[in-house]
Amino acid sequence: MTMNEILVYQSIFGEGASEMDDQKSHVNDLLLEIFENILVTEQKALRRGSFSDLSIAEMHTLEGIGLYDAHTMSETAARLEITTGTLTVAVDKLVRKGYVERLRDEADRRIVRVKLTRKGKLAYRLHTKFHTLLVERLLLPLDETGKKTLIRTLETIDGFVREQYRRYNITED
Amino acid sequence: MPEPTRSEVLNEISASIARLSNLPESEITEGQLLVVDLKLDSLAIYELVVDLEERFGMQISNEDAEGLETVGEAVDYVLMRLSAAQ
Repeated sequence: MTMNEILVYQSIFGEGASEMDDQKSHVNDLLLEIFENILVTEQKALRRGSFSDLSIAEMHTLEGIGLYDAHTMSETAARLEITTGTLTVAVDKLVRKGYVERLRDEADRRIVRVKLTRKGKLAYRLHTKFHTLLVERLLLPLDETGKKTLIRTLETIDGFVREQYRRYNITED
Repeated sequence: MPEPTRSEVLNEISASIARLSNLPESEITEGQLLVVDLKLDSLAIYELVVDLEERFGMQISNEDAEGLETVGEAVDYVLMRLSAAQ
């Protein structure tokens, strides 16, 4: 970590954030490992499956498009929190691969909507199953109290990370 | 549109399973288990689900799809959903 990175880090997380005792260091390692391993496992599962030509980013674009809806490009971009330009590039590739189709709005031909094809729907469902299995395995050894504690902890982490994300976005703007 | 009969729903499901499993439609019966007897994997189950959604105009969740163990249960499920939508 460079000095500049440490200063940015401390401005977001507060002073002393770079000094970690064993417990904090362990939590930090766990968070990074979980984040990294989920992404890598998702990618490996995709590579070995029936939809090996999809990247994780493309799979998440399919999720943003949704299983049944036919949203406009700007609605879909907003859902994915990306620009319409970035979405256009992603959709072009997904159309070529056969996962997404573009539809002209019946009432207003200037409006283009995006929708999953049959192949896109199958990929979406299999990916959802991957996440369902992941969560089921995670919850399996826990009793009701353990599950509630886990959910509360994850909600706290999620709330905190979202707050930092908002602050970071404001700083960037 | 009149609600399809049990036998019409069974025929649709059997036709879809026959396409997915390469078995003759005549060999598919209500008591057969989708995964164990008909060897449908997760992808094939979802193919069946998309067929049913398109044919009967309904939305089926992964959770509901995974709860269907036999051909007969799939028939019951479609009939129940169609009846609830009336």
